[in-house]
Amino acid sequence: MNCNEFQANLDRYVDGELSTADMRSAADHATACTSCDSLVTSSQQLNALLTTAVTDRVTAVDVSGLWKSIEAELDRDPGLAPMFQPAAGNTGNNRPAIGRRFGDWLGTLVGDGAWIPARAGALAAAAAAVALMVSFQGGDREAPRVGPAPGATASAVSNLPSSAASAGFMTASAARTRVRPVRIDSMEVAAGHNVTTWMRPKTKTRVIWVGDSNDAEGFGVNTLSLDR
Amino acid sequence: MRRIAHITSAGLLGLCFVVPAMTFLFGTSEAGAEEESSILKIVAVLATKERGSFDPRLEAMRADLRSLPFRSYALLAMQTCAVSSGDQCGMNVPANGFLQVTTTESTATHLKLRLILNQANRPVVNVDLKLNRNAGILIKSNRCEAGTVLISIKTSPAP
Repeated sequence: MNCNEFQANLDRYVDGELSTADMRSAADHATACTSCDSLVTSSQQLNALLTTAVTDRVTAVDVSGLWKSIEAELDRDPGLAPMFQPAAGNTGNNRPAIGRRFGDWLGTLVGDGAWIPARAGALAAAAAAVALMVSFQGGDREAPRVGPAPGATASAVSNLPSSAASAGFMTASAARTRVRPVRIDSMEVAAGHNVTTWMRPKTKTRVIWVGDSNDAEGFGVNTLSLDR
Repeated sequence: MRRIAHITSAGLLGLCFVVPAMTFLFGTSEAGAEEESSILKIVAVLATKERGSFDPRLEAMRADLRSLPFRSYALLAMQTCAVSSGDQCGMNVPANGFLQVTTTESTATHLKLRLILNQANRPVVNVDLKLNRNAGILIKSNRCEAGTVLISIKTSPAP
């Protein structure tokens, strides 16, 4: 899998919707490619941030008095009547008035007269900006690694010296967090199984993902994708 | 001048003996790390792709579980063991499975563990790893009829 293919499948990879083989292939690529790995982290952080923001917003909006508010507004302002019951001879386009008035009404529901879509857009933009800032900050991230060749054994991978610092692209914060919270020294997997491991830097948890197989016979060493 | 050279060479000769002796006696920082018992917390979780609930007892693991491709999580079992070097700890998991954890080293900063996960009387995965105190691992094992079993292992210092 190359960078273009990986980025085309990024959302499905983050959501875990790829097949086992594609999942492993994508994880292999992310292991070796620092920029794609950054995209995965950014995407996960953005998802988490948007989910939290939207959930909080939805929880905060009280829609219990929705219809009462609409009816009260209709009763109070007779000029809204043509929106629902066009008066005789009134063939004019009421859409701008409807949009403005509905926007005003929604604005009163959540605050001042600003229109909801504009606020939602601003909220999403702010969330995206914060997510990008968080992802580029990198305070809690593991250092970007130099990817081992696919197929290397676990013990070989874990003992590889890192040349990332000398390559000149490691940030100071990344260099500071060079110590790995979990280091796999060796791993054996039953024949017919596949395994992928990756690190979740925020929780300092290493995930060991053992793929399903129908013929788990014997006990050999399979190729592994490690050190993510 | 000759005396100074004599003293210097004597000093260097002394250092040649003293440094290895000190290293032998006190060891390096890695070898000298003191043994310290630890608490291992092993949690087995049943995950399914069907829309369902998130077991509130797993709230502490939510950040780890959030990105996994499952929709419901239920706590199956939880076990806590106090371990030192050489101690073993185990847990039965569904689908005729068994997880065996052997502590090979336990210090104030990290543990070294050997994990063997058996399912249907066959070893599935065998891992040697070093785990820092504030870190953890999450193993996704084979599917069973009810769903997929996830096993979390985290450490904390013994009280």
